[in-house]
Parts: sequence; structure tokens; C-alpha cells
Amino acid sequence: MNKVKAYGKMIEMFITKMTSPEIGQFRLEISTFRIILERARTSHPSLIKFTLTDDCKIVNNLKDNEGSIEALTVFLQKSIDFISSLIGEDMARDIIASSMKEDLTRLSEKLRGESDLVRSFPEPFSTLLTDAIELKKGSSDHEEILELFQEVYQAYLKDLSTHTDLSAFKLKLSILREKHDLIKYVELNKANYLEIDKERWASATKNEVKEALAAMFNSMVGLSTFLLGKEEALKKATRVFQYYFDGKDRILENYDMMNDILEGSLYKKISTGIGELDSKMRGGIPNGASLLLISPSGIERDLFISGLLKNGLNNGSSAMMVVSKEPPRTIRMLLRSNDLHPDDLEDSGRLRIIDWFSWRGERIIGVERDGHALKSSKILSNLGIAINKGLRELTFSSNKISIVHIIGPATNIFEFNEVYNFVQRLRAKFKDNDMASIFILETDSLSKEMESRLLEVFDGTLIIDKSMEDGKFKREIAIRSLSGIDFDANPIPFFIRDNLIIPEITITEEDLHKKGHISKNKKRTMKKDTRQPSTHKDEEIIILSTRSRVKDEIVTGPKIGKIPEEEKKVINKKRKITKPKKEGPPTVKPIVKLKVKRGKMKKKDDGTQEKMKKSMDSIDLGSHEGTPEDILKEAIDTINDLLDIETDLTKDAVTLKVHRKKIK
Amino acid sequence: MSIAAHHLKPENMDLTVHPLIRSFESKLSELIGVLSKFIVTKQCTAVLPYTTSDPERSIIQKISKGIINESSVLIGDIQARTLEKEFLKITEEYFKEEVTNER
Amino acid sequence: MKGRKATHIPGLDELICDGLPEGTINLITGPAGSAKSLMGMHYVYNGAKYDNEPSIYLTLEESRDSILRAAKAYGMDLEKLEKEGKVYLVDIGKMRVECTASEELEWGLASFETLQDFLKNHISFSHATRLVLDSVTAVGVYYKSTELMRRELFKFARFLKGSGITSMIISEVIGDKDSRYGIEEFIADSLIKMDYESTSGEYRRTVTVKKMRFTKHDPLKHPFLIMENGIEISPDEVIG
Repeated sequence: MNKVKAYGKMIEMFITKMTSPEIGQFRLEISTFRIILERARTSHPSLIKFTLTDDCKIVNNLKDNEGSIEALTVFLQKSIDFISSLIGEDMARDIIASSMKEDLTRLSEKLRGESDLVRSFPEPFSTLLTDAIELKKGSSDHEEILELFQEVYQAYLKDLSTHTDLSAFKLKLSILREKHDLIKYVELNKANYLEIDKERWASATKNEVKEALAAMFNSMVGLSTFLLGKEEALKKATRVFQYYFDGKDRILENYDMMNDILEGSLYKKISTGIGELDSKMRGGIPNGASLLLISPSGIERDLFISGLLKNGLNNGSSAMMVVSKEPPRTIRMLLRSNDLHPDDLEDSGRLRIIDWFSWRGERIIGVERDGHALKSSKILSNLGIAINKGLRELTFSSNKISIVHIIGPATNIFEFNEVYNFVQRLRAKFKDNDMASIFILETDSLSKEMESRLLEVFDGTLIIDKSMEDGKFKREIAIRSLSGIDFDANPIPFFIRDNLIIPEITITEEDLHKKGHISKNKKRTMKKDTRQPSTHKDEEIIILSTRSRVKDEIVTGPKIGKIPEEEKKVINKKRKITKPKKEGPPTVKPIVKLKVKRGKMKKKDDGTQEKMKKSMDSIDLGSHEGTPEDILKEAIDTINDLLDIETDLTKDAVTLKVHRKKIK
Repeated sequence: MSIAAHHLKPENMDLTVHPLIRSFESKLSELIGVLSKFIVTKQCTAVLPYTTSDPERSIIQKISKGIINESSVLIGDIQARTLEKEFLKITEEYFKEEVTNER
Repeated sequence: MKGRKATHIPGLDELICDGLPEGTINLITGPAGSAKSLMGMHYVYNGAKYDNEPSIYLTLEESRDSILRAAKAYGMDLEKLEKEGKVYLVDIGKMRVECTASEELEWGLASFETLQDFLKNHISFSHATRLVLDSVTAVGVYYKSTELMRRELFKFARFLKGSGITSMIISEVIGDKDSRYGIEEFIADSLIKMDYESTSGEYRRTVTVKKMRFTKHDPLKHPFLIMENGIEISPDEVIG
């Protein structure tokens, strides 16, 4: 914000206050200020370029900055003189000081470093602003950004409180406290004022401060989206940006805040629970997007869905499941087997199950309630009503996920067009609610023509493919389409272990070269392994497979290859200090079991290959302390380092299969 | 014998013209219009079999009570209670005057 | 147009721009059992409860007890609001039952003139701003000719509009017609049709706002359910 704008804004605030009913008996009319402006024009003709609107805005058509400041000073001085002539100088000063205290404090931030300009302001503004600036000087950077955000939050909360009693925000705050230590020192008091214990924040790093502030802001925008719809929430967020963040570029840049706020709030994506897939989707499923998942029925699909739900629910999302193949109790069992607590989630309104299964075995009139689940009769309009009710009952959450499994069964009962229209309406409904949704369709359950018509409805399509190759299953998940996103269509091969989808990651030689871990004269090729013995005769194979369970730990580890002694020490030291950080897992973090095998492949008589266990030799993992799990953790981290993959702790599992080709 | 009591004699059985009943009806009609006439007539008819043996005041009270009961479904309990008080008041005044006149 | 009288019936206000326009006559039509009376009960109960507006429910057919019971089944304690002087459940049906057909005709218990006279007086002391007349069909039988009935209905409608009260007039229809006497829809400012239909072996309740003066409205046919708290319309769902 330039200084003319800031000065103009201050005068606008002054006129607004002086004409507001709050000022009491000394209230002036806007017409009075117009008269003052008109009279001031006689002594200062350039004021002719200024006009005063009915809503106390000053329109400035004078291009000259210095000239504008001079003209505005004359106008302000004349206005103060007029008020002083009416009520006396002291009274005028008191009224201005008390009514504009907050505005001047905010303004002092924008006019920091403009002390000359401030001194040229007419009294009492000059003194009041100088005092406010002096007060600010003592603040640390955290204090500065905290004060800024406190104002933003307060404005937002005040606005939100006109739509809700803020209990949803309190709930959200309690969820955020699980993830951000700093938010533990934030309280919403009885008067709905957000108190931040700034001293507790003082020792935090910039990044921690940034993350906590952004998370809180996002939750507010999320709540606003929930209450008012995305469009209105966006408008509000934009207004806040314009008003409070204007002129704050320095501090926001200092904390690298802008992108986090904007992207975090408004372009948030939902993880599929498979890091590889997320990265191919450029971050996950966009909020409000509806995807069609074409998959054969079976464990692959079930695990994908439960992984998505588990990841989402563990991260504070709310979810809705529309089921047609099994009753709600089976769904609850499935969730329990994934370490989730469906009863608690349903009690707290974070999970709703819409039952379109039970009508086959019992008479349901319209929509009936069964505990927290909603049972719908056969007809789709009732299912729609049940879904609407479920949506209304879901508590506030910035992320919402729905899993809908009705297309196949519905097309067996109703005309395709009816189902098509229903799905289309449902998709629009989810979009309005900013809900990411997955509609399940069994592979080959519709004719190609119907399937392609159906695809038009969705924002994207995911395909799970399962085929037999050499007597073993080959499984892949791929993105077939995703509107507006430059996605990577290459399929991700995966296998299933311990009820988890484990993607197989391709590591290229180039990656290793980039990292400098392979010397030019000793090339290694690491490529996708399909769990079949390699067909290349002279390959060495390194299989690093992982198994994960939910547990809070940070994965650190050594690098493959020779590691200098001092680096080993650092790694070991790191490992010792990586104790569980917090209670309760807001995100799923893996505990990893590692098998390290290295062997030559030899050709069997029948032409297939088998690993030569005897010739396996060990890899230098840099550290041999700790359990095999520890060693594996380290190895995984190392490979991530090698490949420049950011370790995504929310990933359930990572499997790396490294083929090592001997250079002839 | 008062004029009103005259109407209570079996041979002159039109209770609706009784001055008190007419006052009741007038009060009620302020609330429900012409339906008051129906209610009052109905109550007067209903009380008819007992008139021969009952004294005047008792008959009036029965009719008054019947009117209040009937009209309460039209005007609500609160208004019915107010009406009851008014009926009581005009009944009291009426009989006070009667006694004075007779003296 | 002045303000709105919110019905507070889930989904309905969304279809009619937040409520019935103040001072209008709104015709609720539908076959027997299509939940017309229940809608009227909601209108009266919700207005008294949520907007603190005295409301009259004038029944000519159903008994007072049956209405109280039906309302209570859906969580609406009309009796309590009656005691507070916010709801007037006026049972003219009871008076009709107590007299013979000829007496009824003689007294004109169910004539528009009598109702008008009654309401004029009632509104002046109850200050009611909402009215449900259940049903206009019961008034119609009083008139020997449809022509006469229409004329009287027209006068009655003028009176209602003049009184400023926002009314719901319930009319039972047979078949696909919008009204019983073919005139109600013309005197009314809005027409809300309630119905049920058979689909895929189930009965589905529907509601359509066929006409609404002075306001934008959603003219599509929407399904509705009768849940534990009464009528719930699903504005997001459309039939046909």
C-alpha cells in the first residue's frame, strides 16, 4: 500500500467514525464533511480533484503523490479545526483518540518507516500515530505476524459468528491442536475472542509458526466454505487478503505465507493414501472433484477405498459412504480393521453411512434412521434425500470425502438415463459441498457406450487393473483422466501385503547419477520390478520391501553405499533423538520392516530365473546398529534422499525394488 | 318476579332473550361474530330440560359455563378465562341489581 | 411486496424464496392423505414457535383432538402453544357435528360469511398473522351451486387480503386437477400441490409449487418424506 493510499484510508476511517451513530451526540453528517471539503478547495484548489462519496470513501483523481498528501493534510486539518470549534480542542482530541485507537494501531504498521510523513500529519493524528509506531518497535517478528493474524482471525470469527455459534471452529481447533503444538496455546474465550499466548510461540521456528497460522486460517476458510459455500468463502478470503495483508508483503514473504494460505485454503487436495498416486495427480484429489473408479471387485478396490478413508479421517476430514453391496455394520467392521473408530466418528458427525443395501431384505418407507446410518428405500429420489440428510449431518471439516457405490447395482434396476441423471445431480451436490468423491464402478459392468457417457459426468477417472501373468497377479492403478490437471498417466504397479497397497517405485539410473551416489564407471539400473524374476541374465537385484503399520516415528537412515564415519555418527545421533513426537497419530506414519537381499540371478534349466541366495552379499547400509526395522527405516530414507523424493510420512508404505545391472 | 325470571318459566321458554344471556352473547360476538348466536342458542337449548326445577341463578351459571366451554375451542383458553371473568362480573352485577330492585 | 412468512418446513422455504409472501393466500391442494393438513400444522406451529406469531388453525373437518394428536406425533405440541396464546386451534367441525344438516344450513356454520365474520373478530383480539383454513372443500359443500360458492369465495379472499393475514387454504382435489371447484387457484396467490405417485413398486410423496405471485420460485416437482419431525422436502431432488 502506498503512503497516499494509507493516508487516504486513515481519513476515510476518521470520517466514518465521526459520522457513525456510535460517536453519540457529536456525530456529524457526511454532508458536513463535503462542505468542509468544498471550503478547503478555496485555500487549496487541488482538492477539487477529491470527492467524498456517501459511504465515506475519498475518490482521488490527483495523480501527484506529494500533492495528494498536501491536499489531504489541508482537508484533514480543516475537518479537525471544525470539530474543535464545535466541542473544543481537548474534547476533539479525546474523541478522535478513543474512537480511532484500533484503526491507528493497524495503520501504524503500514506507516512504519514513514516517520517524516507521520510527523507532518495534523494533530492529534501525528502524536497518536507516532506513539503507536513506537509501541510496535519493541515487537519481535513473531509478535508482528501473530498480531496481524490475530486481527485477521478476529475479523473472520466475527463474521462467522453471525452464521454459527463457533462451536464447529472450537472443534476444529481441538483437532488442529493434535497436529500443531503451537495451537495448544491458542484459546477461543467465552467472548469468542481468540487468545494467542505469544510468549509460548516466541521460541518456535518460522516454519512452525507459518504452518500453525496457515492451518488455523485454512480451517476458518473451510468453515466459511461449509457454512456459506465456496463462492462466498472465496469472496470473504479475498476481502481479508486485500484489507489486512495489503502492505504486509515483507512479513508474509518473510514467513513464506502467501502461497500456503492461498493454496492451502482454496486449492486443497485430498490424499488418496498412496503417495505415488498423489504425486501423479499433482497433489491428490482436488476438493470438490468427483472421480469414477473403474475397478474389478475385490481386495484391491477395498484396500484403495479403506486407505483413502483412513488417511482422510486420520487427518480430520469427514466422510460419507453410500453403500449398496453390504450393510453398514460390514463397513464399520472394515473401518475398525483399519484402526479407525467408526462409532466415535459417527457420534461426532464425521462419518455418515447411507445404506442402500437393506431395502433388499426389509421394508423401508422413504428414508429411515438406523442409529447414525440412514437407510433409503429402493427409489433413487429417496436415496438422494438420504444423501442430502447425511450431508447436512456431517460436521464441519475443511476436507470432505464421499465414497459412492451405487452405479452398477442401480443400472441393474433402473434405466441407464435415470441413473445417469441421478449421478449427475449427486456430483453437482458434492461439488457444491466442496466434497471430493469417488464413484465406484465395476469393470465391464456397463456397455462401452454407457461407460463413455458416464465418464462425461466426472472430473476424472481412475482405473484399477488386475490381470494374470505367469500364474501371478499383476496389479496396476492408473489415472485415465483428470480435468484441468497435467497428470501422469503412467500406471503404478502395486502389490498387496498385510492388507496394504504397496506401490512399486521405479528408480532410474539417472536419479542415482544426479545424486552422485554412483560413479560414472559403475552404472546401476534400478527399474520397476513386477515381482517376477528378472529376465536379464546378468542382473543383480536389490529388493527393499517395506511393511507399514500405524505408529509415530520419524524415519531417518543412512545412505546406500559407503558412508563416511562422521555422517554415520550424525545418522546414529539422529536416530536416537527421533522418539515419538506427539500423542495420537494425526497422520499415518510408517513403521518399516526391511529385508535387504542382494543376489545374482541365474537362469534355471526351464528357462526361468531364480535368485541365487548363496551369492547374496551384503550392502553397506552405513550403520548396523539397532533392529532390522531401524535399519530398514534408514534405508528407505536414504533411497528417498537418493531419488530426491520428499519423505511423505503419511504414506502407509513404500517399497523399492532396485535392480542392479552389471556393466559389462 | 323479575322479567328475566319470567322467561325462565316453562311456558315462556326462550332463554336467549334473557337480558343476561343477551349480554353474554354480545360479549362473545365481539370475539367470534355471528357464531356466538349459535353457541348461545345451543347452550340455552341444552339447559332447557333442567330449567323447571333450577333457580334462575343456577340456570344462568350453567349456560354461562356451557358458553365458555364451547367457545374456548374457538377463542383459546386465555381468552375464555377472560370471558368467564366478564360473565361472572356481569352476572354478579345483574343479581345485585335484581335484589336491589326487589327490595 | 412486504416480508415473508417462513414456513420453517425443511426444504420448502428454499423453494419459495424464504417463505410465503406476507398477506397472501396460498392454496395447498392434493388428494386425501397427501399431508396437506400436516403442512398446515407446520405452518401454524413453526410460525408461533420460531417467529412468535399468533396463528389460527381453523378446522372444519378434522376434530381438534385428532389434529392435536397428529401434530404431537411429529413433535409439535400445539396445546402448549395454545396455552401460551400463540396458537388458536379453532374447531368449527365440532360445532357442525353437534347440529343436524338443516341446522347447519340454517346457521351457516360453514359458510364463508360466517368464517369471515368470525375471523374479523378473532384477528382483532388474537392479532393473528397466520391462518390455515382446513379445508375449503368443507365450506364448499354448504353452497348449493358452484356459481354461488365461487362468488362467496371471491369475497372471502378479498377479506383475507384486506386483513393482512398470510393464509394457507387447504383444498382436497380428486385426480390431476389443481383445485376442487376450479376457482381456488385463481383467488390464491400461490398454489402448492402435494401428491403421491407410484414408482418402482413404492409410493413417493411429491410437492410442486405450481404458482407463486410476487416471487421467484422453483416450479419443479420435488420428493418429500414424512420423517420423525414431519415433512421434509428435498429441494435438491427433482422428479421427472
